[in-house]
Amino acid sequence: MALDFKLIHKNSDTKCAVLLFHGLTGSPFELKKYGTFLYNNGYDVYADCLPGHGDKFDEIYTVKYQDWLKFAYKKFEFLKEKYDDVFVSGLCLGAVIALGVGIKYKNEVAGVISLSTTLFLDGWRLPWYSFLMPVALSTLIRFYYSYPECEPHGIKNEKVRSIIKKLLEKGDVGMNDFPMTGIYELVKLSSKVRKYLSEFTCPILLIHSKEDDLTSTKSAETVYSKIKSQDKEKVILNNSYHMVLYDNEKDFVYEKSAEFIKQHTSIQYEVPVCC
Amino acid sequence: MLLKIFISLGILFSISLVLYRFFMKKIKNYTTKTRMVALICLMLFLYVLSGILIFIIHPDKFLFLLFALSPFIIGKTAVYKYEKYYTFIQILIIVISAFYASGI
Repeated sequence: MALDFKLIHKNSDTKCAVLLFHGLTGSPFELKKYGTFLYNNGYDVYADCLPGHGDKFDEIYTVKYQDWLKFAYKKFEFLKEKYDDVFVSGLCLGAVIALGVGIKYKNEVAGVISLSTTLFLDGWRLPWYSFLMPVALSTLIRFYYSYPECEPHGIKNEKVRSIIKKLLEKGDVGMNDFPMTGIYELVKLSSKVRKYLSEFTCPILLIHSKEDDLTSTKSAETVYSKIKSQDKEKVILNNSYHMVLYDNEKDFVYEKSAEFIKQHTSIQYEVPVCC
Repeated sequence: MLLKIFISLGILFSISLVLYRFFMKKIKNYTTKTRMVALICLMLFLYVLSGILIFIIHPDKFLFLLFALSPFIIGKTAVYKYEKYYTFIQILIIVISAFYASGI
């Protein structure tokens, strides 16, 4: 199940690339439409499977958040050698990784688009006994349990939800559960990123849904208030859940992202000279 | 009274951990599974709490603090590959703690 994708313009001098990161237990598949939209807007797009994801489901039990960061840094460095401007974007865990890249390469990242940033697991979908989660995460119990990928699957639009549900049953779009070991690493990564948010200075676009079922707007608000970027924008969606790239306002998210990249790219495309 | 609660919780936690780890891990009903894990977490939380309370009341009984914190120490050092062995060590420590508490 090779879900990685690269959308590269052939026979052109594209100097701007967008590096995408998927969410926890997800796959680059969830970024395909978004990536294609950005590609159609003239940017080269790269999305790879994060360590611990993909064919070998068992790897999610052994992967560390440092592996995700190392992988992201390596990808960014590779793209930075080839392109003048590299934007980083991600959804859920991918958004936290994108922030991590922005912190490390604050002078090199052209901009960060952070979608449904998951710094806190405090969405409305979590059961009332989720206050016990820290106990499970910090003890052996994290090896025994996986939080089920259940309704509403992060999607408000019922039609899209039923399609995603079918794809999840087939195993085509990622894992059916969130293993606690993966959540444990996400929590550790979020904590680390929160600690260094004040060092983040790149331009950033934060998109978060008011009704996010997995992580409340507190995450986006925390990022927005703690970063030192002069150029920052926070957009709160009113008619979506966690998976903003597939939900009711997906077109707006796509347009907004493309607009952000267009505004922040240093590359001046040649304009036909008028006589 | 607190000692009895500590012993009971330790025994209950050990039994439920063994049952869940070796027999019930493959349950397909997620609601049942989630509630069971939540119950195990609650027992563990109360075990830790009672251990800490005993230590506060009897500061000379330093071992209670170690017993209470053992799930977090083991959890921090455990790796997936050797998870079975860590589970065994965890249960052993809780059983020892129950014996130690009953001897006081």
